[in-house]
Amino acid sequence: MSSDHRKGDPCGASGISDQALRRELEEIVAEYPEKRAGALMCLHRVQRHRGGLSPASQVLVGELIGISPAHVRELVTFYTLFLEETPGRYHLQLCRTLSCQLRGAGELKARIRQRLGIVPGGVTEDGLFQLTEVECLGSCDSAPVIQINDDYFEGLDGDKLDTLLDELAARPPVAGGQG
Amino acid sequence: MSNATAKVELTIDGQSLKVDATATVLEVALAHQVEIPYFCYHPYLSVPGNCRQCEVKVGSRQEDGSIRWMPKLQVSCNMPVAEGLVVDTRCDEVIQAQKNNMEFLLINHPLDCPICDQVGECWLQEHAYTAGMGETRFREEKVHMDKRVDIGPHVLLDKERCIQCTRCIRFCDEVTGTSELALMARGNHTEVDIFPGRPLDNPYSGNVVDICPVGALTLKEFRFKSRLWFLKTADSICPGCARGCNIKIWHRDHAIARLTPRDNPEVNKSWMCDQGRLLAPTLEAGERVREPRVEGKAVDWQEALDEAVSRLRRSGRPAGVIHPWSTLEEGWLALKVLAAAGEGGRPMLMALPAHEQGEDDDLLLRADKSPNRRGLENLLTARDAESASVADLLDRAVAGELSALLVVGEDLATLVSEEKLAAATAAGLELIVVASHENATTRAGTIVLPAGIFPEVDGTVVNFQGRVQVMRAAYPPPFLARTGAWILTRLASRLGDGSEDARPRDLFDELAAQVPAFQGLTFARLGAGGCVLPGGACETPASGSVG
Ligand code: SF4
Ligand code: SF4
Ligand code: FES
Repeated sequence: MSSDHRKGDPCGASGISDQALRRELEEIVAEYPEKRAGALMCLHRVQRHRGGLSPASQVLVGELIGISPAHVRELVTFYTLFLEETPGRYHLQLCRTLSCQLRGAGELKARIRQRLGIVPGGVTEDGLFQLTEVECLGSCDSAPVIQINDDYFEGLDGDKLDTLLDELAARPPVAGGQG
Repeated sequence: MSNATAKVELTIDGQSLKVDATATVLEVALAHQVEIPYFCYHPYLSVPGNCRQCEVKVGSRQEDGSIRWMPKLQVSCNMPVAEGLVVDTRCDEVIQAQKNNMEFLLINHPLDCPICDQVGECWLQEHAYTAGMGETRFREEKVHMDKRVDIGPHVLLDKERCIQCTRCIRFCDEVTGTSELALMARGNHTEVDIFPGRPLDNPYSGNVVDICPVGALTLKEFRFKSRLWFLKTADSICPGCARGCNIKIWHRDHAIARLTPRDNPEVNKSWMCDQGRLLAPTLEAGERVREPRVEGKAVDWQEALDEAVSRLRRSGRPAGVIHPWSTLEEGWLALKVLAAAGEGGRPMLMALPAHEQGEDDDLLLRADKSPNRRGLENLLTARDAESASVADLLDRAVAGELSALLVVGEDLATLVSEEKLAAATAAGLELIVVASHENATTRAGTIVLPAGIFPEVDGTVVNFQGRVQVMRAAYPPPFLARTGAWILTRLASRLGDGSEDARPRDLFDELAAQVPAFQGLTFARLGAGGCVLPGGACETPASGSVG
């Protein structure tokens, strides 16, 4: 994957123009001997920039790799990590599988509900946070874990979560990198 | 294709067979009446091997005569044949696998057979009878999905009934190349769907309904119309264009309930276009000609036929116009009538108007919307008829050179202006009209003879490939109408050419004997799949319904 994927706010949609996005996708497609092989990478790129995969962007990817929009949607819906709708700027993906449950995922869920007023599937009114419960994130050794956009936040408890949410809320929309 | 390829010998259920080395076990089984249940396989689509219902036990015969069985069952649809292959389709292991598979397929199936249109042709029901458990062990809640999804102008989707065989998807990918359908999500949530705003709207969309093995895809135009066992069927040919797709007419109470394709590998495989499939409303629209008329007055057939003959004869040299929807027999008879009524010495004058619309596509549809142009042209050539346009003929009438015109199936006012037609009749042109529906020509007709139209017509037609095929009537014409061949045999016989009792098949044999293009053909040889002109090359596809 090319190195510029961390441009802009890693935890939110970049402000990239449609034209620039299209150019990036064309570059991705050109890397593959078989256009269709670029499908997943294109979808990732769109989601990184736009936060989700709108119908128009699925049509665009289909055009570039030469498959019908229905078959693009087939891919998008097959992988749960692809989102058809643009989520809140910060997509909180709370692991609900065994290890995290044992180590306090339930409390984190309650804390989020208390602080942000959202339950899984919900988005805050300001569009800043969205909560989804997901299956094992493969990080049981540091449970409980929340994945926020592309980054893992591990070994959380209520207080750490509070600090994290404060920090995210205070961050300007398109900011520099984050660990 | 078969002769050149290598053969292998294998055994299926103890039956030893020599087959093409390129075949699959399922193909061989189906061709030899060995029943293997299946859902996802379709002879004209790629083989995904996803339904698992077709599993069989396979092994290879060893040198010492023993059989080495493969440790697991294999899907027969994707299992190539091989020398010495041994296949068992009936052992307990296979039967148990079929049962297990059915149990999985039925776990989330809504079992709403009482309100499902597929009943009577549902493969899930069919296989549930032979390999179902009879009772479910599933105590959990079934997955619920949308049951009435409008996915296109003609097709409705019930996502709960779908067994995800992907036949419909492969049809859109491989046959039409339009790819409107795909499998969305995964696991329990898997569902067939379109992309929002991109409906299943291609000229062949109805075929997905035929190939869906369950009631997940239904045709809006047939949904809830009738239980299948109330319908009668007739094997016929679609008259919609020069392709002449092989079809089955499903009918009840003298009306078409639905049209479905019949497999003919040389003509339409197992497909037909939506235009053809939905032809019925067009045919049934408008007002039928109910009884024979002479100068606007209803008369009995006897009088009408006698009167028609005397007018034709009186004219000295009548001309004809024949619609290319007419069968070979009707065309042959029309020529006989013109020849017998004319004074001889001069060639017959006949118009065979063109009916074209759109373009040929690379699947089935032809721009030529007539099922028998090629056949009729052959007859005209063989009888040295002089061809003329309708406009020509009417000009001749105005000039006083033509006083009687036999019109079979055409509405002249759709070919020339009504004024032109009126000018010709005002100049004394008498129209002897053989017609199914009332129109400007029947209104102007001196004599009107009510005729049948597809699917009331028995006869033969020649498609654009030169294939002679048999159209069969589903039911007789309504009211006092008779088939075109019935009417024209009576005119010809009154004019002294042939017997009144000639049946279409006799007429075909007669014309085949006289027209060089049809040399060597007889009605009996046409069989289920038709024969290619000229003469020989009879190919009869495996009968029975495919998919
Ligand atoms: S809708 Fe019918 S044809 Fe399509 S995948 Fe489902 S069961 Fe198969
Ligand atoms: S392609 Fe022509 S012959 Fe075939 S179904 Fe359509 S209209 Fe009828
Ligand atoms: S027919 Fe063989 S797996 Fe479906």
